Amino acid sequence: MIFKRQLRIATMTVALLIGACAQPQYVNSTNQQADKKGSTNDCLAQFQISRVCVDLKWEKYPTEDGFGSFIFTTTSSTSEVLHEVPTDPSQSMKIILWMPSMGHGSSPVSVEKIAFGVYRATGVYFSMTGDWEIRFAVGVDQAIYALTIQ
Amino acid sequence: MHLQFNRLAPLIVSSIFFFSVLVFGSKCFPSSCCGGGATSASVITGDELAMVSSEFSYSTIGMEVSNSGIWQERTNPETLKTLKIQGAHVFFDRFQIGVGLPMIQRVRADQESSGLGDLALNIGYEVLPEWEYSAWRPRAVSYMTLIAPTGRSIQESTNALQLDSRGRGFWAVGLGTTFTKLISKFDILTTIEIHRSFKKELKTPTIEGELEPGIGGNFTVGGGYTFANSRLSVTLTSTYEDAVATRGFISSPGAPSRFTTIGLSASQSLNEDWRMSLAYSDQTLFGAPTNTTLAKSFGIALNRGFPR
Repeated sequence: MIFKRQLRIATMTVALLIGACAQPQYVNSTNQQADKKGSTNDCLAQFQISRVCVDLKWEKYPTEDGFGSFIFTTTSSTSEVLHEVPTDPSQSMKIILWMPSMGHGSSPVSVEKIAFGVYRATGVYFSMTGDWEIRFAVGVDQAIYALTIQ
Repeated sequence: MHLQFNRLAPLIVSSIFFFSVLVFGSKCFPSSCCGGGATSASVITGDELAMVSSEFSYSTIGMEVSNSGIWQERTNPETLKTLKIQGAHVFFDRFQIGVGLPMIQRVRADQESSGLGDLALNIGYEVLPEWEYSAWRPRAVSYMTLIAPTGRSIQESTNALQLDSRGRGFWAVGLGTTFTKLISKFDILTTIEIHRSFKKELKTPTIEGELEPGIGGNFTVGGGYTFANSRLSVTLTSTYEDAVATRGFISSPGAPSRFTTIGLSASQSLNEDWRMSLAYSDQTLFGAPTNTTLAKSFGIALNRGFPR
């Protein structure tokens, strides 16, 4: 009698476990990067206060094994003329890699000014796959480029 | 009366062994993203006066799951070694205190980082003692846990691979109850634990502002079967953690994370005081994980119990 009850409990448990099996949806591994959104108009990203546009081009895409780098430009929102974000001279361009779902960033990115409105970002690394933001910041002005790392 | 005791004695003695192994055998799981071990409470659910335990586990984190539930296999998996020391002591018959401290080494892509994980202190009370035999009433121990952020959080990490993150980084207070019941040679266990993490200010090169975590919890069901001095068991633990919201220069709402861990354990009593257990746990087999990393772990634990 006791054995039958135990058998019934065991059967129910096994059935529950099987029903709870993970059903993973795997990512398409052929895509390395998918843009999620830019900002407005034709800007890849736009500074929220100054409305200056940002565009970027990867020099080296970051992988699991190594850092990446990209060149980015800041242009006027009304034309494609290079344009700096107006700011206090003590403020410099910073880049923050941010994973909003996890609430953490990545290692610091180095930004080098190459010319007027042209910058190089090095040391770019995404520590895991998922939705990330590349945040361009000058003082309190920010532009956010959202992308999915796969 | 004497006859009844003779019939119940083996049941009582074996229950001490079963329950303590069940609780202490495989409690060190790699966390969800992305720190080290999720520190659990050290609770005595048997008839021991005290216990100390040392557990070594080796984990491979080979899968990442996005907040939309998409799985991505890591081409460069991380390995995580955890040595967890824990102890607990009963006082005034039904009260107990416990402590657990993991030391964690994380290795990925030829880089390594090691150090302390989060410290867990707990105080417990046996709310349902097993002073007399009952066919249906379980034994239950409730406990309050304090988690101290002795391990560095992922937000404070200075390493590109974030290997120096070995904890959640928040003070947290938890409440939990473990129910155990022996039915013939089978035993069953259920643990419910809820914790609240507290917000904190942070100033790093990346973040300057406030991190606001929320509520998290674990729900465990499990059972075991004993033969001779050995025991086989299985547990299923569902873990949930609220989003960590960020406020300040970077504001983001975060996303909750969840995962399910199945644990298989085989244990052997070495003598009256010592027991050894081998455990395997896997986070890729059950549930619908989101916003987390998933690990597979092997562990070996050595426990010493001190009788009353």
